[in-house]
Amino acid sequence: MNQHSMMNGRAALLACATLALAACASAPPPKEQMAVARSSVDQATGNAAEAPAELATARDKLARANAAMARKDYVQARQLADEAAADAALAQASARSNRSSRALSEVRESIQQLQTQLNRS
Amino acid sequence: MKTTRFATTVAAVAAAALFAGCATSPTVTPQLQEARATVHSAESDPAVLKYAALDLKKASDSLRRADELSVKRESPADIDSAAYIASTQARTAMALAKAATQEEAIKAAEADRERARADANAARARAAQDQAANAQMAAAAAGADANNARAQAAAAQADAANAQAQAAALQQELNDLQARQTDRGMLVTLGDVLFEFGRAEIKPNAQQSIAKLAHYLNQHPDRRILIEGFTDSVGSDSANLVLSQRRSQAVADALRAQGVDPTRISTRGYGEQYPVASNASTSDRAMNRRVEVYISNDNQPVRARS
Repeated sequence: MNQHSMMNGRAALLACATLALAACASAPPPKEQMAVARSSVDQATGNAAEAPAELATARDKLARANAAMARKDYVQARQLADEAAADAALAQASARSNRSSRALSEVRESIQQLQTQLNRS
Repeated sequence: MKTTRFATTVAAVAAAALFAGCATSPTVTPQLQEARATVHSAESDPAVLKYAALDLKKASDSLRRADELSVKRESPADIDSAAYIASTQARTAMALAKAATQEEAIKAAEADRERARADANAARARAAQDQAANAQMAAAAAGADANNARAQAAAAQADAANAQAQAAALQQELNDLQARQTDRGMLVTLGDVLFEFGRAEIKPNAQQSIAKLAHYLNQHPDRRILIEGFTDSVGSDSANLVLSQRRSQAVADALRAQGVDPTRISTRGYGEQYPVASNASTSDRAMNRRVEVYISNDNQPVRARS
């Protein structure tokens, strides 16, 4: 009786330990995600000057991911790292779009000038 | 007792786990709804399908992950993070598609610009060519004018030279005829050497003087001629009058034979009237036997003696 009771108690402990371990195993330090985020933000810093708002968001996210890593909040760190990588990609795409938009209006403007010139002559 | 309580606890945990697994209403956050809308609009954009298919797939995959979290009723923070990533990736795909579309438009516009530039250059070249052609034409016209003027000047000079030569030649002829200017016109006196004594036929050796006179008259077709015959005082008045008339007529006939229009010619005989010398000596009488030819200075008949 007493032994049975002991066995039950062990099982319960084991179950608890397993649960706790499972919780820990689900959030290892997101080193890979952090590396991806850092390199994405670095890249955007180099070529996304034309999308300053998006770039600022990406850098802010990366800073917060680093902070989460420091306090070992790995779940938060991983989410923020993934978001920072997505923000950095958006910053680069927006910068490219803004660049091509400006270039397009420049070309169109120069065509207008040529046509004006042509009509004058 | 203890066992029972433990069993109850395990059952409750199991039930809770079961309940969680069987839950039918997923957790839907505003961020997830926004992500669905954004991914959907990216999926329905043909430019995104054409230029950013890979990035669109990332967004779709991320949205699926967020939906899974939603179905599992994970924490709103987890769902929001996944949804945020899906939304951001969809916006990235749209930005890339927009950039690519604009880059295509730039290529087309650059081609347009090259054409416009070529047109502008061609127009400039045409204008320059026109100007050059005009200038050339003007120069050619000026050259032609100059040549014309030169030719005209040369012609005028030649005409002048010709006229001068002609005038000189005629003057020479008149000089040869010993013409002199009088108030009735140019006077050429043909002496009695033209005629045999008492006759009216012109001697053959006098034809040269007649020819010179005819030539001069033919060169001046507007001039009129008056031929006057005179004798010396030897013989009867009436015979001298007739003789002087016949002699002036003989000169007129000779001129007509040389081509002078007879309507230009008038003749008169004055007999022994109007002597130019005394009739007292042979030489004086010879001077009185004469024919005077008056040539008008204009196209009016020569005035007769009054």
